[in-house]
Amino acid sequence: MKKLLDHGILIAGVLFLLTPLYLLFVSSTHEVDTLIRDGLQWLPGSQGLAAYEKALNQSLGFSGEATGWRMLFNSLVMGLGFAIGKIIVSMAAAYAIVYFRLPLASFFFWAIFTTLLLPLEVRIIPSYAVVSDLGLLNSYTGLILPLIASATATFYFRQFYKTVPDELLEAALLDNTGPVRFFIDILVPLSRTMMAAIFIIMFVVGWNQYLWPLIMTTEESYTTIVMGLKNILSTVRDSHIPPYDVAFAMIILAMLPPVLVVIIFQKWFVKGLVESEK
Amino acid sequence: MTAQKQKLPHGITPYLFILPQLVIIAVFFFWPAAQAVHMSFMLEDPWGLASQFVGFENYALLFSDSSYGRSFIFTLVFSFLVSLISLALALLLAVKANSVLRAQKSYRVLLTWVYAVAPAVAGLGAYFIFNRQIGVLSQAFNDMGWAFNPETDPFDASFMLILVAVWKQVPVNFIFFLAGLQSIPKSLQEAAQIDCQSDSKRFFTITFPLLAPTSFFLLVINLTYAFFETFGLIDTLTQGRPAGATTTLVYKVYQDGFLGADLGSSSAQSVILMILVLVLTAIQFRFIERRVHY
Amino acid sequence: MSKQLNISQLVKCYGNNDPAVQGFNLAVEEGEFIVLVGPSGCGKSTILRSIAGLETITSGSISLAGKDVTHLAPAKRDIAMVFQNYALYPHMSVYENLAYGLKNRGYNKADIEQRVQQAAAMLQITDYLPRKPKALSGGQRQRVAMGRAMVREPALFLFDEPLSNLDAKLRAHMRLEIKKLQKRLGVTSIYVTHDQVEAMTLADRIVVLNGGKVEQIGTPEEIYHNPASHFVASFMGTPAMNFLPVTALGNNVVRLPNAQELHLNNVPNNEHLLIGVRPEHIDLHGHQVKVEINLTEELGASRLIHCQVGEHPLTVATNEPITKFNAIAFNQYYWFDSKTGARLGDSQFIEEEAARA
Ligand SMILES: Nc1ncnc2c1ncn2[C@@H]1O[C@H](COP(=O)(O)OP(=O)(O)OP(=O)(O)O)[C@@H](O)[C@H]1O
Ligand SMILES: [Mg+2]
Repeated sequence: MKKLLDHGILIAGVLFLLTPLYLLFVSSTHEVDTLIRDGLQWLPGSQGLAAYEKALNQSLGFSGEATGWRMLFNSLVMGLGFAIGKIIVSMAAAYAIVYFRLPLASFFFWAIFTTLLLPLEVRIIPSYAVVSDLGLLNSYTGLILPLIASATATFYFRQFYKTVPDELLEAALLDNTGPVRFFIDILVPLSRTMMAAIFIIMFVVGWNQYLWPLIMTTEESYTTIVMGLKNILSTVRDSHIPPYDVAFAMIILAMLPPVLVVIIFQKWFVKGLVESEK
Repeated sequence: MTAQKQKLPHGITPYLFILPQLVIIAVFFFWPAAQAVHMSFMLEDPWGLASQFVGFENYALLFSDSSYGRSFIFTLVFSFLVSLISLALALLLAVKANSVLRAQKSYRVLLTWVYAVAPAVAGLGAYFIFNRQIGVLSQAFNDMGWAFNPETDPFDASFMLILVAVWKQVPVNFIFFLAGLQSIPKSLQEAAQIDCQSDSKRFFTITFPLLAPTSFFLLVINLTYAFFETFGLIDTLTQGRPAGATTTLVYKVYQDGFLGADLGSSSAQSVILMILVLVLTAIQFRFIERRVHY
Repeated sequence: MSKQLNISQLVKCYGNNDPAVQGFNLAVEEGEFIVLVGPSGCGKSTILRSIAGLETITSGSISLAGKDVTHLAPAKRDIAMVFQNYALYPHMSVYENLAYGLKNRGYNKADIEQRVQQAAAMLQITDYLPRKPKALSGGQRQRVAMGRAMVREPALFLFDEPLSNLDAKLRAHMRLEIKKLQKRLGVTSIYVTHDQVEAMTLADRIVVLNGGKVEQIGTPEEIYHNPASHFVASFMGTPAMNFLPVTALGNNVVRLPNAQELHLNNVPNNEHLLIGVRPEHIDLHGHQVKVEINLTEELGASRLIHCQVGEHPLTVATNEPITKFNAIAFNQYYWFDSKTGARLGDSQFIEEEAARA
């Protein structure tokens, strides 16, 4: 009896999370006319995945460059670039902080630490100005670098390096290993699971960026799929026959890659999340 | 920082390792942050051609601006409601997920995937589901006799926003609570089972106190989330409507700075937000210190 | 002088704390097996790590094979070290673990292969070469750690409690293996342990440390039969030596804790007199010192009988099937100053040692 109640509560939770997704997906397989006339649908329609075909290949913008594929590609670059860039930069910085006795160590530490305090949203306008001054508007570099300027991953790796037994470094020193070799031969391979875990988190964070790409890209060829939703919104609002099916398809497409990553790499994802927020 | 680590002898190597991070945070963090502080003391003409030092005038204007006050209150109420509701739901689900033996893994996956949905995506999805033309929820509300209209009714709009924000935030809390529950040693739970018969009593006297550090820490995370990461949600769902009733502080920074081109005011708002985050972090820090001893 | 390793006046302070090692001197012959033993925190690891170059020493000098290595980097010292937790590279196979140091020193492939195979054969780990350390038992990991030290054919082996992570049986086995291997390779070795059985069985010479200072240096026999101080006498030997406070009454007569008066040999004239008797040096049929029996511990071949002399405990070790007696005699005993801990009276071994050092 108690077991039944437990499962009941859990299933209610699952449904609460899942129903909106189901509703949008099923509705995306209907004709637009049906949607306009009868609203969202609970059962699959006749159109199959036609809306996805349209969403991927049709351009919603003016220049014809912002097709679904293009936006997915941009998001992929954003997610991968952000995750990889962040991991490389943080691993290197954490290595310098943990393994060397630097004269300015505590200054570096606090300089990096301070970045945890202020999310990009808070300094968005001056950030835009800086990126614009550097001529980085409408570029992948400009999209990615400012987001890397926070220390979450650095702290994560610093925490991890501290748990690596000292004896490993000592054994390596006796084995005639220099600082660069030790990093590449020992520390990086040891960090593999950590890297995987943080990669998952950072990929999702990078993919899901909205405000920053919205502000700093004006060329449609740099539109990411998440910020592209804003265009959908205005298209739907402004048109006589709103292309609901395509809009729903876009929503599904925008969430699918990160959701799949999180589901497939569930173990690493949970580890990354729990560890990185410590 | 009492690192007892064996340290490597070094020349220039470590500086090369730390350099990329330092350059990036100098250019993309410290410089913009300093600019924000600087601009908050300046008045700029609408074309950005000339600016002049005005001291605390931007701040003074803000504090006398009733829309800023409203936004402040809305942000606080919104943040606390979202945090508390999603924490409570997540705790309930985590406790149940931890106690069932069957399908535990499936539940975990099914209750966490939403983490990967961008707030903006969630917002747009919700926009359609609450939409008055095609949405099923507004339909349902109307059938129940609630003339649901988020476009004009601040309560309806806030309700909608909170519901979606909770939907988005439950999974994160769920993961942390589940991890917290699973880190309670089995032997301790067994000892508790011997000492205390009632399930609910055991939860409130043993499990919950052990989870208290996690909960407190999550509260801070959740508040931060509600402050900042709901931007995408608001921008796709309500854009602050009706009449600025659902404008959070972060959304207002963007609205005034980008759409309204009032750089001075927007910067002053940024600075105030910085101070708020600083306070939150200080709280978190005190707490982390305590957790180390715990 | 064919001293392989020479350490003189080694001092090591961590930060501003009291020195962890205060003026340590040691000269080691080629091929000798030295064991550093002492209680936790006495500075054993610090000395070993200073020899390895993993700690920069505060003052003093270290020379190895006639070369001053005091300021050399660890890799340049021609030493190899076996760590307590083995410190195997977890992501490398056993083969790669052994080969890594050689590769970093620029050995060619064939040479590496030959050395690794040879060491592996000697340690009987050839079958495990492709495995990762995770897939090995504690004893096998221990061998791999030894192998990593051996392949380099260093001038000096350093061991920091290499057996303390093994269970008792395996420890006894590996102890023997290490001894055999060391004799076979003839490499000078310094071995750190806090287990005095290990120290006694392995060492050519034992260095007993206490609080960062040397208490005694000597062969296991010397340390056992002729401890230089109260500390050494109490630390070395199981079961531990018995100590009874006594009062010298003159004419080689002392008063025991149970108020009994007893005539003994060479009683020193000292106010704080302590008599030390090893449990195995007690005659159950002596009829001299009255004791009360508290408890008997059966060990199979022998037994420990815990008694009391007045208020003071006294342990007797015997293989006689006796459990009841009420008066014993001391076959052999030592005198100490209970205030300073110094050995008193007859100390011929100690003087010999001093002459040698
Ligand atoms: N890195 C360090 N920083 C400060 N003090 C240290 C450090 N390493 C060791 N010490 C101190 O130096 C003293 C000697 O330590 P050492 O590790 O040499 O002892 P040990 O004899 O090896 O003990 P154990 O048997 O527990 O391994 C101890 O008091 C210890 O606290
Ligand atoms: Mg030690």
